[in-house]
Amino acid sequence: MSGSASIVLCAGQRIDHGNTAGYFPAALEPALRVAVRDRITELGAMIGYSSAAAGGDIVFGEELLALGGELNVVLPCERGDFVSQYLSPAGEDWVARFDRLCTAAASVTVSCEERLLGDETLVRFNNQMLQGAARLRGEALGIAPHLLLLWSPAAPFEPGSPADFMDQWSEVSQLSIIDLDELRAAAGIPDVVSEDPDFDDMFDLEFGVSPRAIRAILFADIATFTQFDDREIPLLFDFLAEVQQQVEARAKPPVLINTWGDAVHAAAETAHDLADYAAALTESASTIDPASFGLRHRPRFRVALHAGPVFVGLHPLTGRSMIFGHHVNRAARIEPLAIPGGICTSRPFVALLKAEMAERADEAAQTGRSYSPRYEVTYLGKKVLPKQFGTEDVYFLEDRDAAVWVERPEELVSAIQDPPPSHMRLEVPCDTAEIARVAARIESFGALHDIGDKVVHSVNLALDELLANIISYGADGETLPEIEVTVGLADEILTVEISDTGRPFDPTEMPEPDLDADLDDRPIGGLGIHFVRKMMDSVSYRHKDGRNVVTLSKRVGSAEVAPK
Amino acid sequence: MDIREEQLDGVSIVVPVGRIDINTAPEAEAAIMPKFDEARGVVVDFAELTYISSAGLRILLKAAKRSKASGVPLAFSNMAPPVLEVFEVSGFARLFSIYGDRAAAVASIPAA
Repeated sequence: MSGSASIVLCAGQRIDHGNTAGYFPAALEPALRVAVRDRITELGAMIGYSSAAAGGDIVFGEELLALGGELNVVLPCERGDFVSQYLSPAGEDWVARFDRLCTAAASVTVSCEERLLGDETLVRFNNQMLQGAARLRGEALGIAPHLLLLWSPAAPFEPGSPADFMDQWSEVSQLSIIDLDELRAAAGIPDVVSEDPDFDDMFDLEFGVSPRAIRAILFADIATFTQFDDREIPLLFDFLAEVQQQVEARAKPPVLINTWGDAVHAAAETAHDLADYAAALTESASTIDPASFGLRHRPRFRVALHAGPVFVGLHPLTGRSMIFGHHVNRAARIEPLAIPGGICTSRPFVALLKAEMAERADEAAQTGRSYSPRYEVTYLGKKVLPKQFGTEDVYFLEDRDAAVWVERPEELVSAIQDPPPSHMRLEVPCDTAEIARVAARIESFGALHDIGDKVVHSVNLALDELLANIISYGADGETLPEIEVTVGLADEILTVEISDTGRPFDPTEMPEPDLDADLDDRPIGGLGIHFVRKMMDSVSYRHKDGRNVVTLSKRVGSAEVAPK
Repeated sequence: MDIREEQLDGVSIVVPVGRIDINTAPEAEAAIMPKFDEARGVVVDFAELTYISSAGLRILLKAAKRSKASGVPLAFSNMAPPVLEVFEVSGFARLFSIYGDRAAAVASIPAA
């Protein structure tokens, strides 16, 4: 049996607290933990993306880490604000667990460095950023991401809740649900949901009409503007009038557009609307003949696309509609990174674009139409933004329908992005039933790194022998050993370390069994370590800090060492 | 989206017309849920549905829960092959009673 590796995006029900109705009572946590553990193993979840509210999110994160997975936490707002809204109401214990989770996570990112201000827009934007991060990682590794909901379908709809995630997730075949209502029934925990819960009292956040909205944001200017002298400026505007004519014919107008000199600032409700506008703008500017307008040089737009929650309002001086806030400024800082004639985008924009594409693909599949995305993105790397705006993952956007291709800036393309984790650390409960789970995790790790089934099988045989030994004989009196397995892959060598706190025991000291002896003379045992030696390229033992540590190594790939 | 409603021997038949997506799911929910208090059975007939998103699926899951809790049976009929496929691939098909046509769905509901 060969394993599979998956990327899992998780959305967990928040634990009951204060006066909330009972959808996830604390008593249900142990049962949920077991179910999550099994589902992670089953799905081969090696990489996880989740927020970290008190409840399902944290249980998922803890179990994924215990099973050696890589956890990426994405929070909707500034960390302190998140803790006070999503952790503290459930108790200080959850705050401590949140802190430990963030320390152990591979990454903790904040999708909007602003305060929540009781605003559902940030929570929904975070949902989109989580989806986008999981999708992009999936594309980089060639794995379709999976949405796992730890959910009580009876719970009321709330922004950022599992139900909200489900609504925004188009790939129904990549959806997996752990139903808390069923778990509760199976665990015999009484149903305490009142017939007509008062939804208004259930959450600390007041979700309501928001001055914020999620917008795709464009900043553009004419990169070659300084080439035009004063005499040419009126001609340049004639040229732009022609550009505008063509843009109008090709793309939906943005919901907002403002200009200042050669700079253009626009916003749209969807990533596709704005990409269509940007593509029409750059293409018209690169196909209309500048000479026919008396211009000596071609005006080339440099376009940056970003997305985020922004405040929407009217400008007090002009009375015209405007958007403002952190993300508008950020978009302006990305624009200088764009290539003249080309379009570059931020990671949030790509996240929105990809989610829209998934939805279009799904709709096409159901209605029997074919769908091929019009836009393609190439990762250019993490770029430093001017004026202390930190860094941004920048992508190059290509329009497959374009008549004129803008050269992809190959020299800017990052060679490596988001490699799969090369390391896995498993906590193994002292129970022989857990050996199968360890094997499944090794299979998933193997699938993630294209390690051959043969090697995976050998490693699992060796682990089976060694773990069975520790679990059966390692106990020191009443104290069960703590067991840990770590797996690392470097330079085509797979290294497995089994460490336990049980009685000191050096398996490498076991004598070689006499394989030629008659059945009657053969001692029971001793064969296990013989297998391990046969299967692995090297086996070593040391006793360190009160732990037995057995280290195995095995070459993977084409240059496998012949069996001894 | 439009929702047509019919009655047949105490069974409520709900016929969503068009799309159930994130925008229309609340409307579908509002149409289906009260039926569990009124009828002896509920049939959702997909004959005129062109598209269902996960938001729609969520509503149907909720309806299935309600059906189980209230003891009022729920059955589906006339799913177009691509829609049925979505249900099958996701493993949701086994959570619901799905019939080829409306008559079969209605017949599956035991007489009062």
